[in-house]
Amino acid sequence: MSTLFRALILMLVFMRPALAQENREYHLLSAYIYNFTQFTTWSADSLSNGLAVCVVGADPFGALLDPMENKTAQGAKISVKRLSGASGNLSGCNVLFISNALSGGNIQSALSSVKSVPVLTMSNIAGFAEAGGMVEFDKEGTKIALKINRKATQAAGLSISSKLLSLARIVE
Amino acid sequence: MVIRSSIGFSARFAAAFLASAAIAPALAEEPASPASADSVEDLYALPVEQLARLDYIVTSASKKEEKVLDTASAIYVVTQEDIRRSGATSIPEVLRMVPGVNVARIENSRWAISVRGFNGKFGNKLLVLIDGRSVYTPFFSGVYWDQQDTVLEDIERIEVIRGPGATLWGANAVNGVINIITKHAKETQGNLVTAGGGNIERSFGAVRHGGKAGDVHYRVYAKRFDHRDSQIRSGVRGNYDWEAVRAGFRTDWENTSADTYTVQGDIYTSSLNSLETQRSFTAPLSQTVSSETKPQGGNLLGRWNHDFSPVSELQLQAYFDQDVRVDDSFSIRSTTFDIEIQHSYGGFEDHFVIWGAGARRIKNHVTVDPFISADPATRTMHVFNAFLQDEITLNPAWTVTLGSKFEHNVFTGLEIQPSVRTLWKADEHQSLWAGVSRAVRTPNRTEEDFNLTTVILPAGTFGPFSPITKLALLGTAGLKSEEVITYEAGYRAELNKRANIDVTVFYNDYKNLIGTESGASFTETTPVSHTVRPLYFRNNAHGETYGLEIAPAWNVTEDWMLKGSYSLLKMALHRNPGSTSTTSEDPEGESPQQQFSLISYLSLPHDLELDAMAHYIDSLPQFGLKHYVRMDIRLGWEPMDGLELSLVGQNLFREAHYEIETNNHRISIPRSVYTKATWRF
Repeated sequence: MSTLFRALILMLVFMRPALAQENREYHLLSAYIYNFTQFTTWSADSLSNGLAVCVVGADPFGALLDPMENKTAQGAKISVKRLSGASGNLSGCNVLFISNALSGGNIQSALSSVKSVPVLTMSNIAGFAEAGGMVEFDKEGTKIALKINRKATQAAGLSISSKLLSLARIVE
Repeated sequence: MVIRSSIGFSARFAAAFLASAAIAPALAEEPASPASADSVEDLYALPVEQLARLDYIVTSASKKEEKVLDTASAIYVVTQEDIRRSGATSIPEVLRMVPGVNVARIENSRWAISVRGFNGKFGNKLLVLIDGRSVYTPFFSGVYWDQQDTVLEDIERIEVIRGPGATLWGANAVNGVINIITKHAKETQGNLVTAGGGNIERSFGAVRHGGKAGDVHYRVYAKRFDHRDSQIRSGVRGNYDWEAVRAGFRTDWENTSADTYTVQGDIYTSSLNSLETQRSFTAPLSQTVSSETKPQGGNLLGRWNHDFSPVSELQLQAYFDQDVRVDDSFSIRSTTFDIEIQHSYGGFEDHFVIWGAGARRIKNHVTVDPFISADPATRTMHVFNAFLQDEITLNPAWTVTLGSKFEHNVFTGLEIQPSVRTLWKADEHQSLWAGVSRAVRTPNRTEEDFNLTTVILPAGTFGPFSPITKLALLGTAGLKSEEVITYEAGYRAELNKRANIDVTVFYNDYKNLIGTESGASFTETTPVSHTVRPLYFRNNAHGETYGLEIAPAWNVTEDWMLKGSYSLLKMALHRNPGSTSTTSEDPEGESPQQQFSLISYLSLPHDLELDAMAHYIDSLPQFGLKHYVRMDIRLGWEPMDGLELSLVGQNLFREAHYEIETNNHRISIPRSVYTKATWRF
């Protein structure tokens, strides 16, 4: 899964902790999340109250998700919500991004609370797709690599456009 | 901040291999740095296929980094880690580990370095760049390696592309391009002090301070070294020391998220002693003496990168470079101004286009002495270039890259150097690539303008009545460029999580190789009457070279890494019909047929490192030199954070060996030991 020799531009990581590069990971992830809102199909009634994009766990995005607010997808207005823990009501969400700050036990409980409900689950936690998550943001070299678990999306009644599927590795 | 899908003067295709996540912790996923939401808006607007092409890690300006796996060329990247653990104290020594590169140390301060054959003190088929500045001299189309140096700890990586890099970098990258890239000033903050000494590397040290003034990151450095003589076995004793002092700076300013500016410069002065043949018309006519040369110089470079959008990036670069070499009788001065523009655009579906143009003005001046002169003594040469390249994505696994460079130079006019390359990603762990390119090596000042007396022979050498005779090499105007058509292919695979391998095969078809041709003798009368037996430069040979290069790497355990490289080179050269040259085939025996390197990096408990490098170099039959093995070992220790001590032994196998012969001299390279301390605070 993760490439054995990561193609990193700087060897400094090896020697000195001083970070010398810009990490734009969450910039790219927020743009991906937006693309998923545009190219995933939810049933009409699940979007009747707008399309809620939720982040559960410590929020790594900051202001990066803001441009999504008030844009539309499938005619529904997008709103962004931040939920603190798995205890929040996750079923009001249409897209759920699980932050990697969440502990292992909480990840599983978050996933099971939205199982078979049309919520698009996404995360950048390693192994997320294999564990039943729908979209995993992995890293390959210096790029973000998508992994999509189709069984999970189909079980939830969600359909993802081939535009995104063709860019992703499909995980069973 | 705008994401950069960036390009640069150096290969777009560069990345460093790093040991697996077990050794180097994956880059920490930190919360997004506070950045304006504007830039993210741009990303939202991007078609998702282009989003997939962007890097989440963006480093110093002006690179489009791709995994080496995605490169349709034979590329090898020497990382800072490789530089540190090799124990090398100069850039040429670091290059020994690269497959296909032949590094032969002539003596203390001189190296002959080539890729895929044609090595020699004046090897001329390799382009070398430092941060985008060409360090190739038009005097003999090669590199004075003693003039190229910097604080080695501040080199980010060295990319070596074997094969013609002609399309992006222009003429004279016939057999390869070496691109030395220093770190962004942001990455060299704080202080670095190094000092050391040994039996041959008598003393050396460097100081570097990096800091920040407002938004501008900068570093300044100074370094000095003093290398002792190499031993001589052709019986001549003398002073062969080499010492140099160098200072420089680099500043990087990220003005806005879309603009970065870099200004950097260096200045140096040095003194090197070597063997030269001294000629005279009075006895003794030729003798070998040691002579002192003083190379000095400086350069200043400025670069501006501007991102119009995440898929459109512009780079503008200009530099000034002056080098002077003065010795007892002779001096050369070269002054270069260069300006280049480069633009990359990834907005077309399935096409990634890079185009650029540039102009360079080189003024080369040679002082005249009876035995070396040039006509004209001063020549100002202009080179204009333009290039265009399109990387076409035929399907997600297959790209074809078409490109060409157009260059106009003072000796041969317009040269066109096209290239077609293709890359097929069989799966995420393997790729295959192939390419055909045409590249040229334009004639240089030595071949066109020079009059060099190589040796003066006494009366009676050619018969009882022959007078004093001078053998001379005479430049010839109107030479054509040397041309090569290169066919290459390669395979790269990540064999498992811990090992990978890179294999390249190539076949080069050379035409119009420049060699020498004897001409009719004639008489000169000053200072005494003598006969001249001239050798003229002519395009009088052609030939083929072919071979293969293999580079495996294996992370045996978390603490132990092995890297190897093997190269095979076969050369078949022939003189052209009508030529009577007897030396056309000589280069065949001047480069080793096989080279093999094995490198081991071992991390031990208690912050110790044990690194070893062994190299086998095949014989050079033309010089009667046998094959040799050289072994270097480094022991490193980090007793406390920020302080690294090391003990390095070089050439440990034998007390001394020869690597090459030039001008009928061979100088042995001795065993050496040194210790070094590196302190960062």
